[in-house]
Amino acid sequence: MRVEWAGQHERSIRRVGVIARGAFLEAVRDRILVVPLMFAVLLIGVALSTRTLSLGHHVKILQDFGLAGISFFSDILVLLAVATSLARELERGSILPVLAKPVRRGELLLGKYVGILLVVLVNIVSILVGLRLALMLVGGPWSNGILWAAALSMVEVAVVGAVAVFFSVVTSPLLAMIFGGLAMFIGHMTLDLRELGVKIGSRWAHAAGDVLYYTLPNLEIFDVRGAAVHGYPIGSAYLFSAFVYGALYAAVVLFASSWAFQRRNLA
Amino acid sequence: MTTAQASPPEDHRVAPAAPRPHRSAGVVRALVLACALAGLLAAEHRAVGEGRTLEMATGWTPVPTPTTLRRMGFGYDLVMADLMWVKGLQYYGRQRLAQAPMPRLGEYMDTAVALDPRFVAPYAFGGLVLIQDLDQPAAGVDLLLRGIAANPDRWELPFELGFLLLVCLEDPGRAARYFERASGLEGCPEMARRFAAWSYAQGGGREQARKVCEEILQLSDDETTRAFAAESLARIQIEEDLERIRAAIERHRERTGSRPATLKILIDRGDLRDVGPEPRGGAYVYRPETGEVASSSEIGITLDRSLRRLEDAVARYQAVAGVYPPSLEALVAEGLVDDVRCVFGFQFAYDADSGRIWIVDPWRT
Repeated sequence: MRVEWAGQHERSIRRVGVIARGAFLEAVRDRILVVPLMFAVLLIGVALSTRTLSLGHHVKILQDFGLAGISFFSDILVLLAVATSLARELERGSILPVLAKPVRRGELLLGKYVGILLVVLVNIVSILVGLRLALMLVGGPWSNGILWAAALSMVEVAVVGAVAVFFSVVTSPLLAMIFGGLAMFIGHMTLDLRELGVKIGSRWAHAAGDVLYYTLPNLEIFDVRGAAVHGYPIGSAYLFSAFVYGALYAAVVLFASSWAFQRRNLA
Repeated sequence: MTTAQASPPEDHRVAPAAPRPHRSAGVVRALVLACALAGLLAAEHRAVGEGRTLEMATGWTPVPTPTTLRRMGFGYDLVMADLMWVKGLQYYGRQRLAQAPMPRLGEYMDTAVALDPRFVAPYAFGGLVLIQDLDQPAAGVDLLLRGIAANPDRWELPFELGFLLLVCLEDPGRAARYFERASGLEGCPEMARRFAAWSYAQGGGREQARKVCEEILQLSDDETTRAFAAESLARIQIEEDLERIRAAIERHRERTGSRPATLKILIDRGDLRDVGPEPRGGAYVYRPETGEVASSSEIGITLDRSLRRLEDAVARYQAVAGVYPPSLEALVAEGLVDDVRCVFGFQFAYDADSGRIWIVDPWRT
């Protein structure tokens, strides 16, 4: 019995892997990775041009741009990839032949999600290499903080990607992109929303602010770019909490997406 | 009986190729494109020119608030702070080159540090420019104090404040405290401790300020601070030279009962060893009728600042009233400037029709 369960589990992982590989190759074929490569070249341009413009503070500017680029382009990339790879296939029905095979709907979602995250990982590594080269060019320091900031950007992308997957399942490709983008935008302002509820003064506004605060992803948690750039230590307890929060949020949203996908009529 | 309908025979001939556009059509398109590009460039050039004129006339440069930038920046506050920093520097350079007032510099620096309170450069640069160039010591000191509060572990800001308090604001007691504070922080160079000791021991004074500037000029890596130290040394030298010349004039007056006709007489009569070269490359000038003596470069700087301040006030008056002020004294009456006096016998002339102000040179007949 136990052996049978393990075998099923292994086969399921293998199916997810195959779908993830397909999603990754599809994104590569769509030339989505041109964006990070162009940004890496742009970073070298920023390194050279801001030296005179910034009165000797070009290293800080370069690190800021590099880390912001990692976060911004990764978020955009994940939204685009989810909309083109998953939502479009769902809308056009081209996903049906895959589902005709012995693949569970949850496995399909997870496979697509993992494949897209792999694309984003390649994007982040490419920009990090570009940033490293640009910093070497101007004699700027490299720190572990930069790597941690990039790692937390990856967790942020995992959360934004999960939200986009959810909207892909329940809406259309365009709406999935719009709602995913809104989640990305509002995710950096959840504390403001909560404070707004308090400022309005009514009990309902207060409650609504609290609900939004706890329901929407708090993406500010994943922003340690300031500490990384200014050379302040990032505590391991904080990093652990941020990773756990991101992983749990993404897992819950993916679970909800899978549940909604099971009930969706694809005919 | 059914009759088969005869289908038309299939036409296997190759369809004739679309007629090629006439060569003149290509020329016309190229001409239209060239005209459009020329129009685009002309419009852009005119818009930029108009924008500059407006900015120069009114000193109006919108600086977005930190809240706006935070909302627009999708959480990328650090990048927004960098943009404000670079824009602030460009604004400073542009206004300085045009010798125009820079009322928005403080706003740029304030916005940059509001978005990234750990960014030390805007505090240091803003503090220096506000105190040294813009004659706003309270605002400069306040900006630096905010920087120290937000970055208690950075030595650069208390060091800079100590330096400015000592050299510009001549407040050695406070300067010593900030030098001492900087010297206790990690990475601070040894000279901070020395500067603190000098400030405590001598209670300020020109000699001490000169020592501080000379050492900073030798040891500091920061280009702005080095330039400021060099300029401060020049100013200290000018002050010393002027004091020496004034004392010699006084000695001559006490001995002969009248002021010398020229500075050369002081040297000839042994009252003054030499006038000395003016450190900025100018000359020391003397008015025998009043006994005033001054450095030509200092006069130039003062006249320039006064002129820009008056032009700025005229532009603000015109922006509100819709007409130019009837006289420069009207600016004082409206509280836009404290006075319209000039230095060293120079005078401001003013045309109320065009709003133009210029300096009348008393030495030119």
